[in-house]
Amino acid sequence: MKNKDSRIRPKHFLLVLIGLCLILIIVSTVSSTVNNGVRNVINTVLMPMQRGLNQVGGFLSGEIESVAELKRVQDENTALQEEVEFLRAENTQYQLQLAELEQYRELLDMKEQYPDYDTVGAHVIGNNSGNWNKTVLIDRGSNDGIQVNMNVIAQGGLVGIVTSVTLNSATVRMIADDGCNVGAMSVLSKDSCIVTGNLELYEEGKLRLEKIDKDADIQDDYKIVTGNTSSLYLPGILIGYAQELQIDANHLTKSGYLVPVVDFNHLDAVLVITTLKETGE
Amino acid sequence: MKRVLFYTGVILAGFMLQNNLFAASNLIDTVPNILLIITFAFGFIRGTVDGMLVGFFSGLLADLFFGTSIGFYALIYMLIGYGNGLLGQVFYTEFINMPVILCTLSEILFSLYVYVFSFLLKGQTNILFYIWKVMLPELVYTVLMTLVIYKFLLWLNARFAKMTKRSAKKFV
Repeated sequence: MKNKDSRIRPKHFLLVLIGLCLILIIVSTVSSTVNNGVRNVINTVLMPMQRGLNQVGGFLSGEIESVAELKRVQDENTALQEEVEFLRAENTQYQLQLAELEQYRELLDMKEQYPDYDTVGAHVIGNNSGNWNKTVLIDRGSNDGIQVNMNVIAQGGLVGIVTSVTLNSATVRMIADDGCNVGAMSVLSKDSCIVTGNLELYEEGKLRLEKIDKDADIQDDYKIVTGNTSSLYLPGILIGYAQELQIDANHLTKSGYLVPVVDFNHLDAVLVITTLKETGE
Repeated sequence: MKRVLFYTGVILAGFMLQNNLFAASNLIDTVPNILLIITFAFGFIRGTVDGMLVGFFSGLLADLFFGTSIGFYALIYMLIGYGNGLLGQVFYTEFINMPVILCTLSEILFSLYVYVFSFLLKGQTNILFYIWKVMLPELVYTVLMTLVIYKFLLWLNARFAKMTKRSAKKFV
């Protein structure tokens, strides 16, 4: 098949393809319509196969885990029984305190107002192919009303945001992804801060919490939710808890870590909030 | 034409294996880079053109699903396929440790490329952490997978070559 001048041809071929790659990178970065159009086609074809294989993978890991878990569960059971006794006693005590707290709350009218958003349930069907980026693929797309920039929650906390949508799937960029910023605030004091994803901290199960005013009333273990001023995230979604706050070197701000409520490594069912943030643009 | 179908099948199977079976199932934390194995293997066995094309389409697939810009992964996979094709002209295919060495080289190149262009340029300068926590685990897993997959691809390639030869005879 190869002709006699095959010593030159691959080289030219390579150059052409390199050129093509560079053009593609530029075009897809600049125009999102081209980007999404191509993705749509590929996705629609491959989706059924992926879904099937996912089930195989899930089944395998489920089986292996269940065997290993049996032993652990037995040990856990004895430990838990002791704990139950202890907790029972504690519980009665708390119930008394809770009744007291309820009274105070009504007095202060400080009940937390969690807004009701419409949501669509979805399953995670693929993780990013590399170990560098933290994005996942979910099995709902524009056919189910998913749009770009919709917020995704799971396990009672913020997971991330939809970055691209095809007919039957969508890519979600997790807030733990490196360089992802979320405008956030403390529930109690409404002081603003920024939650930043970082691959280094991801390994420890943490995110970065920064740009907190030095005098702001945010301390360790304070609840952090999405802020009112964030342009993409709906306000009042729980992100996690502040930890190890310290004054920065500039003596103007403080920063620390945020322990998320979501376990980004073990996502299965997620909820996509179909309400988009109104930015008034 | 048959070869195109053959490659398409192998790439798709590898991609699915990597993303759906490994990444989504939480069996292991680090995902071996199977597309990379396929790319360097075909580059090494079949030469520069095949390696280049397999790499290009493997990378394109990864881009289409997960990349931020189309072409980013295609470029590096393609270069790896081409590079291994060049090496294949120099070394013997059957030399036993060759796949491991090639895989290690390719993986290091790939990791550095990703690190430099999507992390270093963002200002993440702590390269030791990335080597230790991301590159090294991925390298180990990929090399381990190479031992299995490379053998399999070699076998598949031989079988395919035999099959096409036979059917070619039939038509003549």
